[in-house]
Amino acid sequence: MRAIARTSLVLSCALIGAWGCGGKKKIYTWGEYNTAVRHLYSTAPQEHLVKDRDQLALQARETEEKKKIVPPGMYAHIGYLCMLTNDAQSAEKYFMAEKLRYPESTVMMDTFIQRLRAPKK
Amino acid sequence: MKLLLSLLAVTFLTCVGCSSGPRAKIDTAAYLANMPKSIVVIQPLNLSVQARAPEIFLSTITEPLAEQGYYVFPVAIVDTYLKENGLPTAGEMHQVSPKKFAEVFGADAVLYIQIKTWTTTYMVIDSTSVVDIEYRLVDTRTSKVLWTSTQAVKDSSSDGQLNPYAMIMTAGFHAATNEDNKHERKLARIANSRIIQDPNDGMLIGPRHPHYKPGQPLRQ
Repeated sequence: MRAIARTSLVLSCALIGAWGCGGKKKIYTWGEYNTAVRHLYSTAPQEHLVKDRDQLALQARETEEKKKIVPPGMYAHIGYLCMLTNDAQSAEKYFMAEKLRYPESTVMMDTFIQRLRAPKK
Repeated sequence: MKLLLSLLAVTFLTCVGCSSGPRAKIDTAAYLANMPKSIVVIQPLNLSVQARAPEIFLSTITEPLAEQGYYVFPVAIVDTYLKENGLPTAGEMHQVSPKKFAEVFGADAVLYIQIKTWTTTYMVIDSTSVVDIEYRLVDTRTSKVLWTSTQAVKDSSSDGQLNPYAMIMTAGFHAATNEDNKHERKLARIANSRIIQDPNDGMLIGPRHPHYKPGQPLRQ
């Protein structure tokens, strides 16, 4: 019985090792971000807005919980999807998250935050 | 049936993403002196016959660029912002001074892309997808060209095939499964990764890369 367990453990490690080899380790967790960007350019982008917004928001939470890194631009993209689905409060939250996580985005995020706060004509 | 399935399987295992090596030029001194922390990617200029190529391409560029160690501005938001602010076409975006991108977005560099070829051609016994893309990285403060490169990538369903019946089947399958330019998208991803991360001619690794060392021209 012990021999079987030991063999299974060795085989599992070998499989996991083989799976890990052959590709570079990525800095970021990409998930569905690239697909969500592509959806905005599809023939019917409005069909994907809510689902992509919610899916990416969940993905961001899970990435943070696992102490991995949300990619550049993803918080902002979620914020943009919130804007497009009329949730300005959440949009501002995500633009602030992008600015906090990636200070390189400060000028751009400040522009969009100001736009959200500007009184509507 | 088993033979047919095996032939189909062999086809998709052979020669996906055959390419010529990148043709690149780099100004290493300028690149190191002006090492960008952040890069804005604007809509590519499109010389291909596929009108949607630039928009489809935009969803493939962020990952390889970010994984090379750069902050990449959210491409869809940048694109929409430029269109809403007097630059409705790629041609007009490419005419803007690089300094403007520093002013509006806070970007250290612009990545200009030109799509020269983007096709899937179906000819009964062969379905071939080709992408041919040119890249140019420009510093926004000095307008200096830090790095340029060109990459062509091809995927032919008949590569490795000798049986005409199998060639017809796989060509039809290849052409029929190209929804939303799936094959060209895959090739664009391959081209982007190869050209940006080429160990000899690729972009230098940027400040967010774990192996980055200031002042050293390192590549992955």
